[in-house]
Amino acid sequence: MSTLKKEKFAAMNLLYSRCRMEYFLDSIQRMGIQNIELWTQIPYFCELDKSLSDLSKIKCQLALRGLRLICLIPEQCSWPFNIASDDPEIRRASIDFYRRHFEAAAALEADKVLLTPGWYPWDKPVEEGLKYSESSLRQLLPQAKKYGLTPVLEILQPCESNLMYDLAGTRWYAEHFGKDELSFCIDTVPVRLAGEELTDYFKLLGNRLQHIHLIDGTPAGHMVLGDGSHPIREYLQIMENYSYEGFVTLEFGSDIYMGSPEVHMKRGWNYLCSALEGIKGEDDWKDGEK
Amino acid sequence: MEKNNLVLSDDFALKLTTSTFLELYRQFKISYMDFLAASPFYSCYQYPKRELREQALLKWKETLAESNIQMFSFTPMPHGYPVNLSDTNSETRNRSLKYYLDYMDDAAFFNAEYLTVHLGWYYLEEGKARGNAAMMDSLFTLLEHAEEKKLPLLLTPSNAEQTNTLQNYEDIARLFEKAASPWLFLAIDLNLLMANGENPAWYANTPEIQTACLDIQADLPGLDGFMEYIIKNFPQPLPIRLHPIETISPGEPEQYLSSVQRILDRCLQVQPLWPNIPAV
Repeated sequence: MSTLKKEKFAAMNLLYSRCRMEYFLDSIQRMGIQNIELWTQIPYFCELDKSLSDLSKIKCQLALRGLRLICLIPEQCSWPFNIASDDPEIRRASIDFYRRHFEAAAALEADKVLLTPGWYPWDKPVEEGLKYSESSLRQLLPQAKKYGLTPVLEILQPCESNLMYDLAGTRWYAEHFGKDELSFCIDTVPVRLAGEELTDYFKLLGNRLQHIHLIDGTPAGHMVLGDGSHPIREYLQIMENYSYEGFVTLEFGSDIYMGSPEVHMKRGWNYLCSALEGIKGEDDWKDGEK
Repeated sequence: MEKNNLVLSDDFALKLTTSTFLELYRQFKISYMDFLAASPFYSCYQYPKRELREQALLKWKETLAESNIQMFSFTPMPHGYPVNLSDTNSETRNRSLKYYLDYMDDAAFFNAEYLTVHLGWYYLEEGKARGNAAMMDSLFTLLEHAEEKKLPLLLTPSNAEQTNTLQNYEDIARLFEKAASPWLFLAIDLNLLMANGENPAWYANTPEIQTACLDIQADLPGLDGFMEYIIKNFPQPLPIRLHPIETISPGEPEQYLSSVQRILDRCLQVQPLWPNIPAV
């Protein structure tokens, strides 16, 4: 029997960008989803607004609905923070930004905090960017641990980061940081964009692969499961085959869905539940079948 | 320098060094820029101290002058930043207003022709009417300051994710009618207009709507189609604000630059060069 259960799956608020926190949480609760991953953007959490950074209020809202926060994402891709910037002031401000969010994540009792490697100008040597990224992470990672958080570094799309968007980039970080220092979040879209397989990342990272963003796409697009061309059932089987024990977050976010977020989250969740029923556990394989 | 009616937005260049993308303006003799106020170019979040901000502004002014580039529009970064002029949360809305008002000073410093404004979004469960009411409050405040500073606002509808308050001709016409201000102009988003199947003549035939330019997001295959559409449907001369789209991997920066160069090359070949275009 498969050990991959829907209790290990979470919903992200990205799809609900045009709704407020209460609406999102109520919607998730209605669907029977137990876990959320919180992307910190207005109106969900914004340190710039007192009314949007009341941590005890957010904690209460989660508790009232029996929801668990499995990971916090400080907004990094579109905001002006970049840990690999060649501008020392931007790097310093970025490190401070993430440190403040570690504090918030800990206060909200999140297990993990998601980090991204940053980016470097495309017309400058990428090696310089990797050095800045590494240096910033060396300052950040101990701070995350101090707060009792597991930092997970996420692979991004090439347009988002030229430092870690494929297996080679992921390998670079895995080799430059120890197993106890840094874990990883693998997102199915960059894997597919790179023409690679999820298996490749399990083979490279082993149990350092502690978080997954599961999305469909053509091959990009942050699409609902079943709407794109990704082999979703195959991904789930791979997670089962590698005895993956971390959480998997549904990171749906295309603007085509934002007018009716619950309708589309529900479609994706139902697709997932149906797909999970077909996953084979270790004992389910007939001789020679696996 | 040869003038043309092309305004090149630098939003394609966010991941390039300044010297590289300015070279493209020089190479293609493009003298008008839509300047995106976003990191790492220039963002209020990078310069919390006013003094540092003023130094950065001065440096940019000198750099653009050296390249003979004039600023058609100064565009505060809209997408993804924690800014929403239509937010019913007064704290968020007031902070968003301050964001734009501070940038209004910066745009005036650059002698920009326009300050681009994205009006934000309403929350689904609150309803469009409430969002619109908040939006109009913000717009009236901005227009007061626009008049003081003699800096027109350039309203830019965007995709539904970004600007669900302003998605079609009816939304835009209603807004211009309510605002009734000589300081408010429209950048017609051609991608949105064509997706909506709207008739460009509606905009031309609505006197309240003052159209300042056409916005197009185009890759190489799409460019000719846009230009044919413009020539056919916009007999009056209008600046074209171009946002080149290219999705080549960052592992191939030279190919990325080449692809943007091909877009610019083609654009200059096929764009309508209207005689006597209004002085920009």
